[in-house]
Amino acid sequence: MSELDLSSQPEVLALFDGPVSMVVGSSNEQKRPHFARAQGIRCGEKTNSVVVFIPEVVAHSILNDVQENNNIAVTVGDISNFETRQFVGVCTHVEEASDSDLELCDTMLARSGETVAMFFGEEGAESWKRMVTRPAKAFHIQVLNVYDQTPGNRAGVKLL
Amino acid sequence: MITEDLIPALQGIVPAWIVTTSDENIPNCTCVSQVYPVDETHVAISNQFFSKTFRNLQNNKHAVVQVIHPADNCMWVLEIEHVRTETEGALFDEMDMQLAAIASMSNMEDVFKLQSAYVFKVHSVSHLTEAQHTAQSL
Repeated sequence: MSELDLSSQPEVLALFDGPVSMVVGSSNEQKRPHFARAQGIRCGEKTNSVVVFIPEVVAHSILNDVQENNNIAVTVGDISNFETRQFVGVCTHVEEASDSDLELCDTMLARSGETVAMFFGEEGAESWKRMVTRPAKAFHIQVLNVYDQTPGNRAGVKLL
Repeated sequence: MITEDLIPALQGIVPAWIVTTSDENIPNCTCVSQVYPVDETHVAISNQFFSKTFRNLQNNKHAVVQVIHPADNCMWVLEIEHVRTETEGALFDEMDMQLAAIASMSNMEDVFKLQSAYVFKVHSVSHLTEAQHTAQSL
């Protein structure tokens, strides 16, 4: 089977430049699922990889899970139009997020905060922007499948 | 377990997220329009179109759902277990009505149609205060 190439679907990656909400799902050896909100995502070094950044204060369950079961899912949704994609794959390694990656997280949070302001006003945006971004762990993920997860009939359709 | 301060996060104003796991132990993470309080220890989740979540719950009843309080964006995580599915009755009708309101708010009337209500027992509720700076700390 040939390796998946995320660059073959530019619109999937374009999502990373929008005002997005990012969540991560994992599960332990006993098949108990866990959840964490991520604060940043970017493409990885390989064409089939992404790196997702989870603040350390909420990363513990995901960290524990990937040591027992490296399957992981990352869902990224544009909060302005609900376009959503799910990246399913395996976590290859975890490291500390670099300064530039933490800056990316701050930029992504500020961007989504601007959209939150349109829906929930300045007060809503201020509390949104208070989400902790650092320090964070960088989860490197080899993506095996990408699904359309936009609410509607397309939800769950495999794209890659 | 489901306290008064959690109720606003269960109004469907901010979309929630659910994570389930397949028989092969592959997690699935998807958006949920409605997490509805049933009683002090149960919530119901609207099923409009999540086939993979449904498939996963057939084999593994454990899930986790995250909801957000619309006033302060505080996050809550609920560990839940699927106990039954309803396709008619009072709960279904109440959820159907609330879902219509949520759909109208988000201009998704054509998309949101309640197929069934998944009822879950709530095992734990965590308020993720550590995920946000306080207003004073910035």
